[in-house]
Amino acid sequence: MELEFPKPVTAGAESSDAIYRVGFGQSRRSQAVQDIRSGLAAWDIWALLGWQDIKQRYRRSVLGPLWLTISTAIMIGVLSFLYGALFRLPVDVYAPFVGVGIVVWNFISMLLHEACNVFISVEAIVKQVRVPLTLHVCRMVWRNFVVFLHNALVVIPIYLVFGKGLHWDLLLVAPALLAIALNGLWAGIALGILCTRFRDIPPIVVNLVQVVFFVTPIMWLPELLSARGLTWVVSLNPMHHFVEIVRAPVLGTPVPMLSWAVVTAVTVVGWLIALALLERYRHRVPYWL
Amino acid sequence: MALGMHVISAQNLVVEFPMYAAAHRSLKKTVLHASTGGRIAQDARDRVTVRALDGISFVINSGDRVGLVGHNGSGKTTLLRVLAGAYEPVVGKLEIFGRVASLLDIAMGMDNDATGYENIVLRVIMMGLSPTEMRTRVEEIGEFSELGEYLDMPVRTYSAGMQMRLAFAVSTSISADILLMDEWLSVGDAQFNEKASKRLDAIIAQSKALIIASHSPELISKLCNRGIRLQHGRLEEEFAP
Repeated sequence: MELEFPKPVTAGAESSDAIYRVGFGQSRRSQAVQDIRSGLAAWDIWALLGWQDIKQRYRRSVLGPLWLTISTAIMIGVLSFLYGALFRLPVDVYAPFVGVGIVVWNFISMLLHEACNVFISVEAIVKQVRVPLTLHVCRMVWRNFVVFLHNALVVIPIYLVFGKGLHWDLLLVAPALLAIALNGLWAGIALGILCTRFRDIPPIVVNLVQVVFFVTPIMWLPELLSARGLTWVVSLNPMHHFVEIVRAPVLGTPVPMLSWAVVTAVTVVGWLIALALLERYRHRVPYWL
Repeated sequence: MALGMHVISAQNLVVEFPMYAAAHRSLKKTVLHASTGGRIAQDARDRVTVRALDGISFVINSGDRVGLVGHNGSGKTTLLRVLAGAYEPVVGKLEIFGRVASLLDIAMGMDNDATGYENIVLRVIMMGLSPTEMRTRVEEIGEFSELGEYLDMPVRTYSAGMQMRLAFAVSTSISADILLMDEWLSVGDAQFNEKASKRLDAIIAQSKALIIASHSPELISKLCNRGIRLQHGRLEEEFAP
């Protein structure tokens, strides 16, 4: 007999036929899929919680989340000036490149950092009420998307000064951001589960992310490596492709097909991993907290 | 759906906690386990588990007021968490008919830097109300807490008693079919406590079933029509309180 789980967080649960059942031979897979489905569907809840997280983080500061914008602006300003001179690149080439790169990178690296603690940070909730795990991950991704939007403000003046004006390529930014968010979701589920179980993984992730930052062409142009016949260092780096699918359309350069191919492949493989982990360990997560 | 009078039916529930000592929880042991064969590997494989619930079966009917008793560590809170749906049993079947309100940790999800009103919203949403539904309740909850203008201030500025009042007001604002409680909630000064008790009585009266864990025989005999005694995770006996 197929039984639908009630949506764990619902308004309509007041009806008395809301049933919670475990141990009746429901397949682990259908439960995992149900977790993802009801987690995503509760968008009004994770949107509100994620927004609350941002408000709370900047509660007592006057400028609030605009601090993010300011610190990113300073960072990009200094980088454009110093590294532009170091690499002997004209500022109208380097500033937009590094500006967009940093903003996208910040988004990706924050997603990875917070993915590790996505369940650990909501221990009290996970241990007390039945809420889809995916909901916590959605909250985390949404929160970081809002932060990203604040950071992205920095790009606007750079674009107005150095950009190529409005062009159709800019529309490609939307699917690119969606792709990053989708990857943030699977990373949140997979890393969230792994890090809850093995508490050594978060520092490893932090370290890796830092290393990858230097290996990825964000502060330096990929052409520098191809001039030395090291193109593969860039092509084999999936992070480069994630940055590139956003950066290229903004800079008005064509997005290499390879980048979208890699991003698509990572998304598919990543979701398969996340699904497998969720299927096997979803019900164990509260015990590990 | 064939719905008898029972609201909860549990068959042979087993809950096991893996015991990860700080060292156990690390990747090191697991990796070493893969590469070495000696004692460490043994450690990683034969991890210690604690059986918190061991083959618990019961049926709770509409109208039941169940008191859970037992020593510390006998499995009362774990059982409540299983009934709340947070812990999924390793073995066994569990069916719950109706909306469950978990009053186990009423301060759950309180954010000290947020205002009282914001905390009401956060908490109510975590308890399962939709944001639209919640908006209609916020005023009533605020009023019940008698915190007045404090509700616009961060919870950090509240006294412990005021925080409890707020938590109580929110937690008890939702009517549910099945109430789970870990000890009687007592909050605030004498006057507020009386009001709180009345409110608890009211939501218990409205509910179909109450499951309360307590160390107080008086409370159980006053409140409950059934008693369940747990020992070492086993259901030792059913008794009439």
